[in-house]
Amino acid sequence: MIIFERIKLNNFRRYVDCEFNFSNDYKNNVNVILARNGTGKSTLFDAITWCLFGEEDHLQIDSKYKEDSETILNSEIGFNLTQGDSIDVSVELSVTDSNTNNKYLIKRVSRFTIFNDGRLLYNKEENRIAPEVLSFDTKYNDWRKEDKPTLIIENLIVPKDLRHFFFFDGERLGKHFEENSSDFIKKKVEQVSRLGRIDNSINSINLYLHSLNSKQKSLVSDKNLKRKIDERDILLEKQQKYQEDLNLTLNLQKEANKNLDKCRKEVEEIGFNHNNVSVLNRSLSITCKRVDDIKQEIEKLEDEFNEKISDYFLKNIFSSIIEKSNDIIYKATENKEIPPPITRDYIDKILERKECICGACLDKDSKYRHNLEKFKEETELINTSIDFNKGQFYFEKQIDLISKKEYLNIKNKIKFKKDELKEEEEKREELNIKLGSLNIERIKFLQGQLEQLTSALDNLKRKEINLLRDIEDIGVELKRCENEIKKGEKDNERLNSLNNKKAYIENAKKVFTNFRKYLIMKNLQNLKQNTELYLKEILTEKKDEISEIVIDNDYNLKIMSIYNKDLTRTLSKGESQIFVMSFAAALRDLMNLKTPFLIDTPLGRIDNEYRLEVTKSFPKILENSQFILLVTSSEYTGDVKEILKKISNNKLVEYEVMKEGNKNKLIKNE
Amino acid sequence: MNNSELDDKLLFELENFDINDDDIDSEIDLNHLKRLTKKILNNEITYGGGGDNYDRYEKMLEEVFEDDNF
Repeated sequence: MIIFERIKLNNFRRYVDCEFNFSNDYKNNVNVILARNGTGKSTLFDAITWCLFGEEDHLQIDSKYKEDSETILNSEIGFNLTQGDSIDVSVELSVTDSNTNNKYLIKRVSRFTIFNDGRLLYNKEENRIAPEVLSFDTKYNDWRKEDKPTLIIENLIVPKDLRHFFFFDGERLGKHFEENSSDFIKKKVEQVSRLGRIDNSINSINLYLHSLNSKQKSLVSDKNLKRKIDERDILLEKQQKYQEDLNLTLNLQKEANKNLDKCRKEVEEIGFNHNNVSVLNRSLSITCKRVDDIKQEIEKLEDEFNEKISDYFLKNIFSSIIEKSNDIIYKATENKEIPPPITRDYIDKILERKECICGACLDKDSKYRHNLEKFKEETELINTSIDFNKGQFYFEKQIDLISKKEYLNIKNKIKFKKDELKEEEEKREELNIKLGSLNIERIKFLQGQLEQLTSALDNLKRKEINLLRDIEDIGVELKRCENEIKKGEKDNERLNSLNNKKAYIENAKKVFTNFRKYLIMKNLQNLKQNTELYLKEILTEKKDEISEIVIDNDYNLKIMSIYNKDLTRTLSKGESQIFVMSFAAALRDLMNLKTPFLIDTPLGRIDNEYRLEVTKSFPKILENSQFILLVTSSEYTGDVKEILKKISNNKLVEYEVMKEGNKNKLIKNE
Repeated sequence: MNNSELDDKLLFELENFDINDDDIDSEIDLNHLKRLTKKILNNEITYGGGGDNYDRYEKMLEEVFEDDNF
């Protein structure tokens, strides 16, 4: 319980030098300040709110007081001030925390000065700052100034925005639930639930999730990894194929080289020399031509020879010889053989054979040989040099007759040419044998083979280079692919870890979201239940009518009837006051506040018959709070006083405020 | 109740909050999740979350995930 033990007012309106000493009981702490209307009840109320928050609540609510706001300084004192004079207005509140027994002094002072122009001024801005708060340091037995006075007031007494539920005017209660009460309830429930903390946690989680998502995006996904593995497999397959091609190419090269070597060896073995063949061929060709030429020359010579002797034979000698020889033959063969007729063909034949037409019968072994002798005799023209063996028995003679010299010349030429021909033919033969032994066709074939093999080898070599380059390129590709796969596998591990983290974080977010809902629900429930509890305990006559207290989705506080009707607007003034007090008590419990109740005219608008009921209800709420009631004599009836006395265990503190000129005088009724 | 007391109450509430919810993935270890949420909330209460403190917040979470007991 927080207890206002004393309030000292100096020059605050009608309270020039007044001091209220309230009950310091930790239980049933009830204080009454009795004053007539216009005497200073509301001023005392305002003095407390001014001291704590720099605001006079009555002036905030009711505009008719605003003109007076400038003059918190007692008007008489202000009037008597002369130029240059200054005077302080102060309110000092002595507060005790019954739980800790800590004591505090809260003091607000405003200095008023009369300026040269006669205006009475003070620094209004001072009202915006916190009052001075001193705490009693038991260790040093002295007062110590607090660094954070606002925090002390908010934490110790009441948050500024909650004060209207604890410091209120009974005559203006309606405003509590008319003005932004739903926003207020929402704000308070969220405050007590510390939703800011939870929302910040959720925001942090969202940021972290965002960060995890960004990290996730930068990693190789499982799908991409699969694609990379496929790519690697294709590359490996390609590499293998190229390698096989390379092996094949190398084998082919080996084979080609082998064939080439074989070819070269064979060529070497054959002793092939292209130049030699050419020389031989050229020699053969020359020799052949020479043979042909010689043959032609011989032919020409023989033609010449024949031409020269044939006419002579035909015309002069040959016919007679033939006639005679035929006759001889005819006779020699006893007319059994008929000599052939003498024709040109026959003569040509004779000349060709270089034989005598009688060759046959001149045969040395012929049985007609003997006739030859006879023939010899008869043919006197023919000399004796007849040679039967050679059959040239007469030509010489005859040729000599014509032109032996010329004949011999031609004949010698022919002989020479024939010798020459023979020689050339032998040479040709020799060349042919030589060339034949060289196997030109084989050499040509081998030469072709060599060319083909060399060309094939070049191609294979080129192919080998291309394949090696392709294999190297694929190797680079493979390395890149492998690295990416390695990274992908690593990323995969990281992805799993990230996914795990994400799962936890996302679930943590759910927990916070659910926890948020739970806290709001729990605190709202708490607020509703306690309000209902207090209300039903106090409004005993109406409790059967009340079904429940509801705080709807828009945070509107309602009293629902058993017929499901909203009773909030139908409450009487007294019931409204009890409702407000019940809610304030529930709020106090929820927020664990120890705030005193300061109520101006608590029973002013309550019907006489209900006044006692309301008064009797105070103990229910009073249990944990000090009560300071500012009452008029009309509401503070004897019955009320008796009830309050009873509530306070006869320790009721009662002050009566009396007017004395422009000042108030306090009388404490013991 | 001052803010510090409210924060203590909040931690106490989370400690006793039943997270065994249908929304939570069945594969998640609830004890771990509880530890994580408490750490997050405690961090928020101790330092205030998000914004400029995000790096520290992220570090704190990484430490939680690296914790063998997690």
